Amino acid sequence: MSAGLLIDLSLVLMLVGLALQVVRGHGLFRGIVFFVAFGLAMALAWARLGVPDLALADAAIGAGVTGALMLAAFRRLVELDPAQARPTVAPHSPLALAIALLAALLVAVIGLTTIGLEHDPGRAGGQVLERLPETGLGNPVTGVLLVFRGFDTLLEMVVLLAALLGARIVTAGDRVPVRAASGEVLPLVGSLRAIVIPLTLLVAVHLLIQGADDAGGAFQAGAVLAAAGVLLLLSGRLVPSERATGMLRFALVLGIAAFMLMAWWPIMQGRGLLAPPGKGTILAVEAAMMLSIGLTLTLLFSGSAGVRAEPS
Amino acid sequence: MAEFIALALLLTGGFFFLAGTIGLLRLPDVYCRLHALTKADNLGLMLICLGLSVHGGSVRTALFLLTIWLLALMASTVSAHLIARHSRALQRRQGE
Repeated sequence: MSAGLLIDLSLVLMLVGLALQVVRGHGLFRGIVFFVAFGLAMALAWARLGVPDLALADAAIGAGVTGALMLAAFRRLVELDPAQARPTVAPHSPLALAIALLAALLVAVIGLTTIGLEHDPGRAGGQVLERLPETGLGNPVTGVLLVFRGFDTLLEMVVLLAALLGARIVTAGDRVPVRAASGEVLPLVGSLRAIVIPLTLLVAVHLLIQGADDAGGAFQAGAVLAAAGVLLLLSGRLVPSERATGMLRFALVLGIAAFMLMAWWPIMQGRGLLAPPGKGTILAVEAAMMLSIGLTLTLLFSGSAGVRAEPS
Repeated sequence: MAEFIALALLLTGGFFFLAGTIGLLRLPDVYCRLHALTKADNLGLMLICLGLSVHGGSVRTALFLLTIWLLALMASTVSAHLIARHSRALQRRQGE
C-alpha cells in the first residue's frame, strides 16, 4: 500500500468519524467544534484531490466563517434560553442505521457511475478550457464563476444579501440587546490585532488577485476579510450599532451593483448580456464583491444593523 | 543526508504533537492542559516546519513556513492567555 493511499484512507476515516461526532450530540457546543474540525479535514481532502480552490473555500468559509457564525448563534441562543447550553444526548432512532445505509448506498452508486463515465471533451468542462483564453483569465474556476456561469454567481450575491436581511428580520424581534465586547483591556490582544489585521488584508487582496490565474477568488478573499471583521468585533475595535450608515449600505450592495453593471455594459455596446469582459473588469468586479461579502459576513456575525469603529 | 535530517525533524515534531495531545486528554485542569497544548504548538510545529524546509530545500518555502510558524505562535500565545484568564475569572466568581 502506498503512502498516498494510507493518507487518503486515514483522511476518509477522520471525515466519517468527525461527521458522526457532529450529529451524535453531547450538546450544541461540541457539535459546533466538531463541525469546524470537519471543515478543516474537508479542506485537507480537497487539497489531496488537487482542488485548491475548494480547499481554500472550505477552510475559509466552511470552517472559519461558518464556525464563527454558529458560535455567535450559540451564544445568542444561550442568552435567550440558558437550558440550551446543557449537554444533551441525541435520541436514538431505530431508523438511523437504515437511513445511514441508504445514504451510503446512494453515495456509492453516484461515485461508481461517475468513475464509469467516459471522458467527453464536448462536455461543459472541456468547452470552458477551450474558451478560457477569450476571458483573459488563467483559472478556469474563476472563469466559470465570473463569466460562463456569471448569472449564478450574481444570484449567489443576492442570496447572501437576502440571508443578512433575513437574519435582521429574525433577530430584530427578540429583546436581547446586542452585546458589545467587554470594555476590559486585554494586554496581548491589541498587539496581536496590530500584526494580524494588516496581514489578513494582505492575504485577502492576494487571494483576490491570484484568483484570476490560480487558486483563489472573491469568495475566499471576502471570507478572509470577514475574519478580520470578526477579530475587530471580538476585540472591541468595531462595535455593533443599531443604525446602518449610508456608506455601509452602499458597501453591502456594491458587489451586486458592480456585477450588474458588468452584465449590462455589453448590452449598451450592442453585445449580449454578460458578454465576456476583460480581465481588469473582472478583477474590479471581484474586488467590489470581496468588500460586500466581507461586510455581509461581518454583519451576520455581529447580528446588528451596522457596525462603527471604536477608537482605542 | 538532508532527507535523513528532515525525517528526524518531522518525527520529533510528530512526537511533540502526540505528547501534547495526550496531555490535552489526560491532564487534570485547564492550566495543565494549556501547558501541554502550547508545547505542541510551539516546538512541534517548529520542528515540522524546520523538517519541511530542509525537505523543500528552497529559501522561499522556508520563509513561508517560518511565517506560518510565527503566526501560529502568536495566535496560540494569545489564545492560551485568554483561555487561562477566562478560567481564572470563572474560578474567582465561583469562589465568592
